[in-house]
Amino acid sequence: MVAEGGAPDDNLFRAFINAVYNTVDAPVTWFRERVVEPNQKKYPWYHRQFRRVPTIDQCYSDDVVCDFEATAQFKRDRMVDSEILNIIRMRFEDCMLYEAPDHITKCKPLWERYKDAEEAWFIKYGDLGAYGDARKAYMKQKHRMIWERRHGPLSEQTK
Amino acid sequence: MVSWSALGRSFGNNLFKTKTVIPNSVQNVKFSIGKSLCGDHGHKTMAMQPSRFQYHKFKDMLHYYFMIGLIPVGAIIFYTNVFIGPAQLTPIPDDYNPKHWEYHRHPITRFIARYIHNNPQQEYEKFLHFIDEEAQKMKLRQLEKDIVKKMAERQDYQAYYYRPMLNKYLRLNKQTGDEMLNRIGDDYKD
Repeated sequence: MVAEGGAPDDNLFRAFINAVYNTVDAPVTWFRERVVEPNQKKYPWYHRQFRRVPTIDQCYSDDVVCDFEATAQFKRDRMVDSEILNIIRMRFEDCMLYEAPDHITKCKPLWERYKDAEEAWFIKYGDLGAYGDARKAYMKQKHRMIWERRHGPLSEQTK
Repeated sequence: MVSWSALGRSFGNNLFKTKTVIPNSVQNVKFSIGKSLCGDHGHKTMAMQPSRFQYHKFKDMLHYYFMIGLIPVGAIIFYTNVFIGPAQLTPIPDDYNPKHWEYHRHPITRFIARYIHNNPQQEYEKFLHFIDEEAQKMKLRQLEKDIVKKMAERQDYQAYYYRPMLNKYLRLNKQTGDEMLNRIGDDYKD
C-alpha cells in the first residue's frame, strides 16, 4: 500500500491524516525510541518444552499417576489442536474478507480444508463434556470403532 | 385606577410588616461553647448548613489511594518497564536447563514466579506423589472391605469377631476403674 522510495508522496489528504495521527503517535514513539529502549536490559525467556509421556492406552487401569499425566498431555494436545483449527479458520476468513462477494467460489478449497479439520477435531475431542479426560476420549474412540465395525466408515476422516 | 388600588395594597402591606431588625447571626442561632479567650472580636458562630461530610471523606479517600496505592505502584511499574524491560524469546540452549521463572516474559511476573510462587514442576510432582499415596490407601481399604465381605458371605473364618486388644486402653480402663472405686469408697475395708 505504501510506496517504498520512489516518488515523494505529495497527496495532501494523506499528509493531513498522517499529521493528525502523529499528534498522538510522534511523542509516544519519540519517548519509546529515545528513553525507553536504550535503557532496557536484554535477557532471554523460553517456551516450556513438555516431554511426551505414555498415553492412556499404554497405562495400567489402576495407575492413577499415569492416568493423570496422560490427561495433562491430552489437555495440552487439545489446546494445540484448537489453535491449529483456529489458524485454518483464520486463513479461510482472511480469504473471505479479501474476496468479499465471490468468496463462495474463490475460497472453496480453504473452506473444504477447514470443514475437514473441524470434523476431525470433533471426532477426537468433541462431546466429551466439561470434565473430559484422556480416558473418556479413549472410550469414545473405542465406541466409534465398534460402531464403525458394525455400520461401516463414519466419515472421510476416519478411513 | 391601578394606582388607587396599589395605594390600598401598600396600606395593607404595611399592616403585615413587622419592624424588626435582622441580627447578624445566621438564622438566629449563636453557639458559644465556653467563653474562650481568643481574638475573634466577640462572637463565633457555627453555620448551619448541609453536611459536607461526604465531600471531605471522598477527598480523604482519594488522597489515600493516590499516595499509598497509585504513586508507588505506578513508580514501580514505570521503573520495571523502562529500565528493565520485558525479555526476548530465545530457543533453549542445548546444555542448559532454564529455571522456572525464566519461562515468563515480564520482569514483575518473573519476580513473582521466582520469589513468591513454587516451581510448577515441583508442585506437579508433589501432586503426583499425593495421588499415588491416596490410591494405595484406597487399594488397602478396598481389600479390607472385600475380605470382610467374603468372610460375611462364606461364614468360614472366626476372625470377624476378633477385636484387636490394645494394652493402652486396658490400662486406661483399669486406672479409671480404680479411681472411681476410690472416689465412691467401695474399697473400704474394716
